[in-house]
Amino acid sequence: MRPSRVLAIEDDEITGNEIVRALQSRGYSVDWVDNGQEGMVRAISGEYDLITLDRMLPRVDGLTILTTVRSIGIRTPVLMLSSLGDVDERVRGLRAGGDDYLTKPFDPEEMSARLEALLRRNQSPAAPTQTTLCVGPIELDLISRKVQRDGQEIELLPTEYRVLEFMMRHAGQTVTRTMLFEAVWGYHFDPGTNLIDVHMGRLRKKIDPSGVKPLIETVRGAGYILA
Amino acid sequence: MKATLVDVPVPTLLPLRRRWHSTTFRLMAVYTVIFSVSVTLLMGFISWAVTGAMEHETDVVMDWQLIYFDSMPHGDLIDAIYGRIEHEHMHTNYYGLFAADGRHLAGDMLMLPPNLPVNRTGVTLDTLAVAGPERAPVVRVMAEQRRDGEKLVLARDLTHVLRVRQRIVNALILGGILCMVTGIAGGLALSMRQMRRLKGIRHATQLIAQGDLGQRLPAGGRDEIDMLVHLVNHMLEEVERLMNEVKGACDGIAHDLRTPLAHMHTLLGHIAERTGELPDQELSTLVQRARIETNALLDRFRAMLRISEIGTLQRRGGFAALQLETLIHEVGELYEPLAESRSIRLMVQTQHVGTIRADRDLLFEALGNLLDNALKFTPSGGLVRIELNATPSGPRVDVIDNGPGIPQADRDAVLQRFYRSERTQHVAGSGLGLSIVSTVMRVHDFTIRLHDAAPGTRATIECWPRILA
Repeated sequence: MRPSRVLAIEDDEITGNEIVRALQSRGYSVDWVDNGQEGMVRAISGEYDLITLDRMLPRVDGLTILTTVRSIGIRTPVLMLSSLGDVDERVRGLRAGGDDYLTKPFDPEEMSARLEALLRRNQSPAAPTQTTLCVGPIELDLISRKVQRDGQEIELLPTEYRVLEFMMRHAGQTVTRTMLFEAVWGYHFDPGTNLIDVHMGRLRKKIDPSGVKPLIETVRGAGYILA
Repeated sequence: MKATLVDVPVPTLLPLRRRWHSTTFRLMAVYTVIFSVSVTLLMGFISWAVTGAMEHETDVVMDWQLIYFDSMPHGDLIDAIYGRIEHEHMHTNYYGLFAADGRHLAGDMLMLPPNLPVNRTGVTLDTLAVAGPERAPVVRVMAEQRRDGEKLVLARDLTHVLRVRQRIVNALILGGILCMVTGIAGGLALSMRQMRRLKGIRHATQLIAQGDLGQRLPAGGRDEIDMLVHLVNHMLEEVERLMNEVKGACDGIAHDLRTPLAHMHTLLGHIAERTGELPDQELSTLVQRARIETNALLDRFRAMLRISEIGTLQRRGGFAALQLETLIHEVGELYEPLAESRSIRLMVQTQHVGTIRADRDLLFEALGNLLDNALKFTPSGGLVRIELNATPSGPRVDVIDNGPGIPQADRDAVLQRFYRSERTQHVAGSGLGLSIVSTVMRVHDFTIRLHDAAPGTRATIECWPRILA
């Protein structure tokens, strides 16, 4: 499989370098442009699997690029990066056609995880008729909301169920705490402390009996992964 | 939080009380009373003056008549009286001649009015017994004793005088009522106009107090109020300008510092990677510590900018009808595992309350911060409660812990930016959690207070707007 091509439109040099570094280390091929004009030209070419787009750019504004790209029918997933963090800005970015929104300064792990999630989503859109999710020994029934491990039913609280469902839909990917918080609870602020960890701890206790290799693993400095 | 609350007035009494509190209306009412009294006095005076003049005139006429009769010998008197009675056209005069013992001798006056002074002074009588078909008229009477002891009584019908007086009084009453009605209507209209103006001013003031400094008081008219409005608007412009300068400077600093800090954090990450390959363990630890410190700094900047953001949001756009019960259960659910992991019992109690208008995300964040704080400062084995109560004024949320509590002197301070109690220096956090809470409350115009829960702290959120006017 050819490596995914990512276009990074970012005017800040250090942030740009960071994006390139983080993505190259994960095996992506990255093109970095530092102004809106060039970014627009490249983005319109449609040669990329994903675009990271700074909100504020010299010459052509990030939102303008996004709106233009979407208006000519290019569906490349776009991860917005912005130092404007408030909810209104986020909503504006997503409405203009952004697929995800990340506030600067961000953790490179966080950015990579989100990028990966966007790429996967684009490559293998989930079959809408699918009624069960299966990962390893875990089976999750989306209709009856029942969860089994090796045929043994596991009782989960609604929150735990939603966390597990999200993990299973992103099996094999690193999922960060903020991604989980946004997806499961639907809020966009920093929950801080180890709030998500304790929820995950509970879920793990239920689905990973002691003595076996745990299904959900912690990725240091990033989040979790369901193998 | 300072007690900036004013008791909420009982709604049913409100309109009347409010109307009474309008200066114009009050002035108008007082003026109406004064006006009524003076009109009544005026009418009394006019009727007194008119009647008095008429009576005096009548008296003069009758006096002359008596003088005329005086000059007549006794024999001719009776004929003269009858002659007069017959010849009088309008029949406004009555005559009576009575013997000394009161017997009727002549004239159409049938009876000597009792207690009548016989010294030529005019007296008004309500009734008089007269011959003929007429009913007893109201008369002015004058009597004299003749030399032979007989009493001659003259009476003059006052009915027409009274009719004139009645007309005048009626006209005055009607005019007075018309005047009063016009006065009241005019006053009401004026006070309405004034009240509308004041309402506009009050509305603008409330918005300003809620933090929307771009608002201005509505100007118009060229009176004292307008002068004040212009003064206040001028002051507001100045305040807004200063606020923006300060805020701009703060935000600029936070923003400008954050970017290099973020860079530094990234660079330290790279250094950490390199040093990880070196055998120097101490260097790795130092770099790691530097990263943690930078992270803490970034956290603080993030929280600071967040507060600034929330404070200037005015994003009433994010406001929607919201079920507090659901929200509180959600928050409780989110924090319950955290409480459990610290062996703290988290109790969620809700009463049924109606919907409120609020920003869901902000309120969730604020309540989360409060719970987080409560859990942070409650020792293991403690109890944290979040309660939703319906009160007559509106829903009230309490977050109660039984931790060490906050000293009275610190309670205001902890809600301000960057305050950390001496005793909490060791606890992780930006120190901005409660500031975020109070900023969110300010955006909602809700009130947050901290009380002593003996032991522990009770944070109370009153989910209804503060009454400002």
